[in-house]
Amino acid sequence: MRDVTTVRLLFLIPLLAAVGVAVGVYSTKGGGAEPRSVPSAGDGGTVDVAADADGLALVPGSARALGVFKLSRGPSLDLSEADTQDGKSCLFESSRDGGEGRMCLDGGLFAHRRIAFVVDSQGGPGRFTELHVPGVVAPEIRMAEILKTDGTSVPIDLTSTRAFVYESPASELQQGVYPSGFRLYGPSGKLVETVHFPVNP
Amino acid sequence: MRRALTALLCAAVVAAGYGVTRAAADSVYGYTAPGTWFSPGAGYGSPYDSFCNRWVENDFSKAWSYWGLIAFIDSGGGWHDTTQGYGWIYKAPSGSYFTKKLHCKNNSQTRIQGGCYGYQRPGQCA
Repeated sequence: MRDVTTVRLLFLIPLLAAVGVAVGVYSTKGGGAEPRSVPSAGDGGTVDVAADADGLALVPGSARALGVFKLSRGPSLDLSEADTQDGKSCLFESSRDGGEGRMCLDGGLFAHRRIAFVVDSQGGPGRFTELHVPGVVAPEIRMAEILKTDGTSVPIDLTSTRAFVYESPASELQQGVYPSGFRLYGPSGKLVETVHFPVNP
Repeated sequence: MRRALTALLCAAVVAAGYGVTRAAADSVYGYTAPGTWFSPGAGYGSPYDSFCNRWVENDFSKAWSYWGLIAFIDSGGGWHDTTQGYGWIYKAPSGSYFTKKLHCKNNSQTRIQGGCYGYQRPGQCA
């Protein structure tokens, strides 16, 4: 009887240890309460973020969800913004497949331009399989256009939170046509700022 | 009493396994010095990762007026999860379980100053 119990334990202990390791791996990969990630809420809601790790302490209550954007290629993208305790403001992006990104500026997202954005791509260099530009415009901006390297422009769909994600069509990526900047318009429809990317993507 | 002891032993073993894994924390690695000057178009790269240590994020810390690029480059030279932007930019790929290195680049036509670093996560090869 004692031998049977010993044999059972010999099988059981490695099995249980493996379960523990598996749970640890899952939570370390971000499936659990990984402190580096920044949670987001629904469109326009507030995000309850007390603090974040990775040298990024957020101001409690400053986080704001900007919306969830469905992309034609790739998973949906959650955008949010928050202020850090050392005076930066950040634009966060979180993709439904687990990818994350952020861009932080000293003094606020609109301290130097009326738009905050990044350019994300897959593939390259030179040719891309995906390219999208997530961003948010300042409160005084009512309309925005994206400029392209072929000289054309298209209006950007701004949400109620003033956020957007512009996604380059596959046909334009194949032709080497990329976003190159923005034109921003105020409440009266007057052009108030033009922002060019320093170089084409 | 015997069942209670067995349950306690089981819980302790699971907790030990979990603790061993979680104790293997991510480690930061700067692949440029802080405050490195980048001439226009200049870039830097980290060493490639391995099964034992995977790159899980890439950071380029610089001023609000500096435009730069970060990317993960696979062993065949293909670029993944590239981000360009002003200020401090950060990216964590959706899947980190492929061989890759970190890359950062001054993607502007002016000289800029900044630092590039990433985090490595230990694998399960101990």
